[in-house]
Amino acid sequence: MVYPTRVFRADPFEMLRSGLSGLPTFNAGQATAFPRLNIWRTDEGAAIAAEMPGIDPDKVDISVKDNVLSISGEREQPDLGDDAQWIRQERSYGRFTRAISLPFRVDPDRIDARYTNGILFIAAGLSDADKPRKIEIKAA
Amino acid sequence: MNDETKTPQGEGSPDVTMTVTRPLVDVIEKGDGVILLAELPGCGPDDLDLTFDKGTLTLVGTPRMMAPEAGRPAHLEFHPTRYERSFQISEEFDPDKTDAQIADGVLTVKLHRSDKLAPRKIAVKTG
Repeated sequence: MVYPTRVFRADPFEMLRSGLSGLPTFNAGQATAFPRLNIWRTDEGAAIAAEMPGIDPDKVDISVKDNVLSISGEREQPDLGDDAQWIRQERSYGRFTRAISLPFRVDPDRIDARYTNGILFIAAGLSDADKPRKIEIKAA
Repeated sequence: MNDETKTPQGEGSPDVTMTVTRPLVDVIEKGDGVILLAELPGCGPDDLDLTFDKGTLTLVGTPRMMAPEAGRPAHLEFHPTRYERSFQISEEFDPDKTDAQIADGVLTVKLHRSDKLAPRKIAVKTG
């Protein structure tokens, strides 16, 4: 689902030191898919936040088919010129795709997306067919 | 630096914990200095604290989660956190020439080598 390009893993000596301290360790981006997602259910549908720092929003595609919402794109390695020498690379670059299966069909016309401070926020609205309807009870 | 510590976020919410996360960083040597690229998703300029003290560059970032007001959590892969990471910087770099900017959740710090340590040509005079 995700194909991160990682040249170096976390510093093994740093991991050893922290391991010796007896405390649990946590590194950003550790053993998770890219982008990491938070999903909330709302009255109108769903709200989704995707952690994707350093992305060009123009290179992100959001598509929807029935109840599956897909986020795909590419994070390009910054071009710092020919004289740039990469000493350490912990961030990943390359193409990514994540698909989210929602418990309702999404109306493509009711998707709103904005990218702020490296987080993509998506509001996905229910299709009319899946909206709850009040059933009128007729008198016998 | 690499540790996760769980601390109560206020007395009224003992169940809410905040982790300390070590952000991912790229280090690039370029020209007369070094560039650090740190991933701090959710952080804007006002959410960052960058200090250079006694040869240690420390960055602390507190991202804003911005969860929907009326939303009910259905699936959460990231949680409220505070980013922290420190770097030991060689004396060859000039703290006064450090530039930093953040865009799209990526902090770029440019460290420049001090002019005082740059190689100089010594003019030899006749005696």
